[in-house]
Amino acid sequence: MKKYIIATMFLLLCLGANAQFNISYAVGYGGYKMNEMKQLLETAFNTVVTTMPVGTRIVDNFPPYITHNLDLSYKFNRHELGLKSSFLTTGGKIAYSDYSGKYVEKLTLNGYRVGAMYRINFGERKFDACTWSFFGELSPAITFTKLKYKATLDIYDPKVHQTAPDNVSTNETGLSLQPLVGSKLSLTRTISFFVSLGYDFEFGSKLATTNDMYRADWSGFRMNGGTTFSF
Amino acid sequence: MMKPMEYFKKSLKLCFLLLLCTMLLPACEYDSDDDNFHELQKPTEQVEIGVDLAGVNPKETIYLYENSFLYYTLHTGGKEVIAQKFYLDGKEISLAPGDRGVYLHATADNSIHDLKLVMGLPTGSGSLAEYAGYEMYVGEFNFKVRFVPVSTISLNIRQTLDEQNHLKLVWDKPEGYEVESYYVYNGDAGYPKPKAIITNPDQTYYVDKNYAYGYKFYIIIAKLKNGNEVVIREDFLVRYTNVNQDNFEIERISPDKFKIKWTNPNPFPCKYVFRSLYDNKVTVLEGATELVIPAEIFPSISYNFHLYILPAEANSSQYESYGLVWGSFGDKKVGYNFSYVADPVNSMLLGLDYTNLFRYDLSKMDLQGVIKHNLILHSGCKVKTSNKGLVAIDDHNGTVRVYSNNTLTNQLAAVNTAGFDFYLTDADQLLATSYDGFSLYDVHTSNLICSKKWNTTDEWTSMVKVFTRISVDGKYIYTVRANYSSNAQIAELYQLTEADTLRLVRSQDAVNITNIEFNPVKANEVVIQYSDFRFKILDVITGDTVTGYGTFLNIDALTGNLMYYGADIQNGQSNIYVWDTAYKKVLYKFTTAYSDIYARLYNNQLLFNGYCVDLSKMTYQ
Repeated sequence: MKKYIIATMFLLLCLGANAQFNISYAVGYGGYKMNEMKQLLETAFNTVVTTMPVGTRIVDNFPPYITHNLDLSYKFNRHELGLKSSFLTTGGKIAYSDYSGKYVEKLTLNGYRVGAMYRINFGERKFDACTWSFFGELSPAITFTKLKYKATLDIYDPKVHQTAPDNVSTNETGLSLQPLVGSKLSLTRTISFFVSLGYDFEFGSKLATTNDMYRADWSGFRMNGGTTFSF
Repeated sequence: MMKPMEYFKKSLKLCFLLLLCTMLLPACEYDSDDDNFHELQKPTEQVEIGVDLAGVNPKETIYLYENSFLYYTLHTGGKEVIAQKFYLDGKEISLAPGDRGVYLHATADNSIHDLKLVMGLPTGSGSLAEYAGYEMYVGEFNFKVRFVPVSTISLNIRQTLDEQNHLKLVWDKPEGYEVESYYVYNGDAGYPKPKAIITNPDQTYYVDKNYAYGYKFYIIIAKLKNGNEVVIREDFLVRYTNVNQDNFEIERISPDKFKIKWTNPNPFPCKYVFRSLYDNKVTVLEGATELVIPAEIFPSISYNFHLYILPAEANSSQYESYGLVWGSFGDKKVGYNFSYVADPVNSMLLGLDYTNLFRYDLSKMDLQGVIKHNLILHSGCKVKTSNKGLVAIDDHNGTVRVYSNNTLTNQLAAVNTAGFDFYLTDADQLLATSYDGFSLYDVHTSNLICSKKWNTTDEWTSMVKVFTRISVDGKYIYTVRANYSSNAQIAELYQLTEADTLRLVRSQDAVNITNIEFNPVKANEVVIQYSDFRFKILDVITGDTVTGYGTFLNIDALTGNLMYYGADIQNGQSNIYVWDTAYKKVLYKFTTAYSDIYARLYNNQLLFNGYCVDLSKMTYQ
């Protein structure tokens, strides 16, 4: 629930701004390739499943998840140039629970994408006070990936809480290039709403704690919707 | 248009909000509420768990060996044991779930220890807690144990006798331990056999009526109450006295029988089984310790037997399973000397070999002493004696040394006889014979008393056989000169006069004499052996004669008895006869395995090819 509250706060913030530069916030939905991380999770599953009750399974396998995007840009004529940052997150989870306790083993990946942005606007049409336009965008960036590992066993009676040693968590840095296309509706001179659709190409490096065997691949589609405050 | 100050404030506010929202971003990271919950039935079943500590009663104090391995069996209703722990005096003992034994490292200290077993069985719910080992049926057992040292407790087994002299083993009840029963084993160390179980812990003895003699190994085991295999054991070897050669007395009582007697120094009631290895005959003797047994005709070189000593109540047919004495004996052999002679004054038999003069007593023919003679001898050398104890020995040079007695310490004379035969008389004379005559010497002076020389041109000088004998008193000398090629023979009897001259008493031609011997006891008697298996005892004074048939051997210098082979010797029979001193009664008849013309009789001891037998003891016919 807290993620929805934060997205709403960003939208309200932008509505109260003046126009000169553009500040945009968009909440989106992103998918992630993460093939190698899925292999890592599968390996972990095969290790624990022999000692766990029947029914233990992978409940999450790096699914698409909500993204947060914040852009700062300067517009002159049809061109916009600025900074673009995104927060990406997904994860994998092995879980089993019953009346006696719960076992959870989770890999969480957080990506902080920070980079430049170039946008070109075109096809502008006016409808009364509103303006409808389209844009294309290209954003090279650096992605800082943080991998977190946590495995816990909780037995209710007797009360037992055990945590597995963490020798997996680590950080990684990679490059990415994200093309987008979208459409923007300017209600006033300062307030606009936009939607965009694109793909993020990720060129990440291997995770050190996996003996450089696996890498976090954030590559995947992006779908965003947000608002822009211009002043 | 906004004013610059208002614009700045709004921008500052905006940046603050952006920073705040950025810090909150990690709260938006991936999360999932799917915990994959499974509905399972909680276990409610209670199970019965039992333990079997190798048969002991767990409610009582359990005896265990110190530093030992405790085996046990768990009764779990078919459920697998997933956890078990032993605690000895509260200290956990490492154990794997599959173990069915535990090593208890503890020393015997006379105190009672707490032993606890906690074990877990699966509930079968399949829950996470069960998989993690936190959900199980739990059973707990508490025991009291006492540790027993393996080797330091002694039963102190002793050997004694009961009222009937049976072997009785007595031991001490182990102090401080509760004994359930005693087990008695015996046999040998490798294969002990159970003999008895004594269920009365206060009975600390065992009587073995089945022991009489020999090696026997006993094991007494005190089985402790509630100890299963925990026992106090002690081994014991019965002490007994060996029956050896000294316990046997064996004598020949007939030419083909021995009598064997023995004593048993051990007190245990017994009977005997005598097994002769000569004819494999088995004889059971109850209450007897002597036996007449068949044997080889004299002389017997060896006779082997087994004497089994059985308990008095034993089955005699099982005699081979009891202790035995192995024996071997034969007719007595006095030695390997090449010349024997009796020493009547000392009742001794003297035997001569290359180095020593052996002295045997003439009652049992036991060796009494050995005198080194320091002479150089050959196998033809002889030792001679007189009835007064003089001893004469000739050496390889033909020198006869005369000693005052058989100690050879006092040499009286030395006369060279050139290797010819010589004789001593009770008149302290030495007769030296030769082919061409004889000489008589005084042994105290070595002076010649008299001599006789035959004419060297006489055809008799080249004769093959000449022998000369002298009477025991030195008064008569008998000579025989024979030419065997022509069968011509002449025998002459001389008398030594008071003037030490020789007087021819009698002369005979063609007498066919093969031997002449004077009687060592009766001075005037001479035994003349003829070639036709006939001998005549002649009184040289009266001329009386007694004729015997056979081959004369000798007259016993101590008893005067005359021994000869019967006339059937010519038919291959070897029957020895002994006449009394009157030559009227056969005292002994004795058959030998073969004939030996050198057999001699001394104090009724037949000396035969080195073997001897006391003919006076031939009581069995």
